[in-house]
Amino acid sequence: MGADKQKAERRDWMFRGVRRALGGPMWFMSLGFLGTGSIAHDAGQPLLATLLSSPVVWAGPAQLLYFPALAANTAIFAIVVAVFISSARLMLLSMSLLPMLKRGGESLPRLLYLSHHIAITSWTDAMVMAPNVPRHARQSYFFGFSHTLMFGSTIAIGTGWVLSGSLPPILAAGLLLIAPLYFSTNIIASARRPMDWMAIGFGLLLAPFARLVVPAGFELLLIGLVAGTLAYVVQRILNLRRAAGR
Amino acid sequence: MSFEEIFSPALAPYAMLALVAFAPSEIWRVLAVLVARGLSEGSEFVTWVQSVATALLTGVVATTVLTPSGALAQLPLWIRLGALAIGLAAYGLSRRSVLAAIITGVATVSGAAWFYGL
Repeated sequence: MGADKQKAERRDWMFRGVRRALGGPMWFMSLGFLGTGSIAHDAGQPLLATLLSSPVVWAGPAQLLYFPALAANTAIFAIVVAVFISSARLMLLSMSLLPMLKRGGESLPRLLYLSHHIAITSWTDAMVMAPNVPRHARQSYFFGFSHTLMFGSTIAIGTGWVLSGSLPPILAAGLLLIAPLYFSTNIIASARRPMDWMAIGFGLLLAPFARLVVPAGFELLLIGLVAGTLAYVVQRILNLRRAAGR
Repeated sequence: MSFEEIFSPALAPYAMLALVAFAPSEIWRVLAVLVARGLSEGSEFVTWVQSVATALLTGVVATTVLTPSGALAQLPLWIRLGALAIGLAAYGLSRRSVLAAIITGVATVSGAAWFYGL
């Protein structure tokens, strides 16, 4: 196959990625970021820092806890820990997706740039789509998709900041529910093993009490470690029992 | 010492964004690139980390609904929980349409906000 043909093919796949993001994911994500933008405004953050947070941090849950935590005057160390723990899954997402996107021989900066774009939404889509894309065009498709998401969410978080306060409270309250709704559908969509469902269930049961046990900001760490470990242990016991029963 | 004292008040938000939001998050992506070959996806350690991550993300959703900020805080707890439940029920009934979940959930919250005269 000629180099020109491959180039044309990559271009074609890049636009398919753009179209796929425009067909839904960019909008859900962006509407959620409207609410985050208005909270950033309430937290006294300048517009430019709010806009930058999207392409720079590029992890919805981290942004979703960073700005409200600032607004609530949470201890900086507690925010660092919460962001650190909430982003731990990025390592898993990256490690599982990178081998599918690699063509081999990429430079370290290129790999870091690829990895930077892997977050829940782009990962979910790429894990499904990548096997259908010729290997040489996978990064083109992935960047078409993820850059579109990034563009939309940056516009949205800035719009939320600008509209903050002037948004009718009826609408503002509704928009603030989009992010938790969108994340819960993502959690449900990625739950496959019994362990995942147990982690969700234990997390929900623990959430109302976590605040009473630890200082503000550390409740997410507590929920993650206790509920997650419990779910893992129960699954492990079930696996061992099944193995012993055979 | 606060960020405002170390950096100027004008620069503090950007220093915080870089050190408090970007760095603790991005380190995982850098690690992933560096050690991608060392760990297998099905290893016990990776399975445990996945479980903790799932519970933590559930915690993010739960705390934004239990202790919300902004206009959402002015609605009673049962309305916030109800709206999330209705949205997720719509998600299940619509064969997992994210759009259906968002429209019903947001409509419930906005309807309640109108009812309470927000």
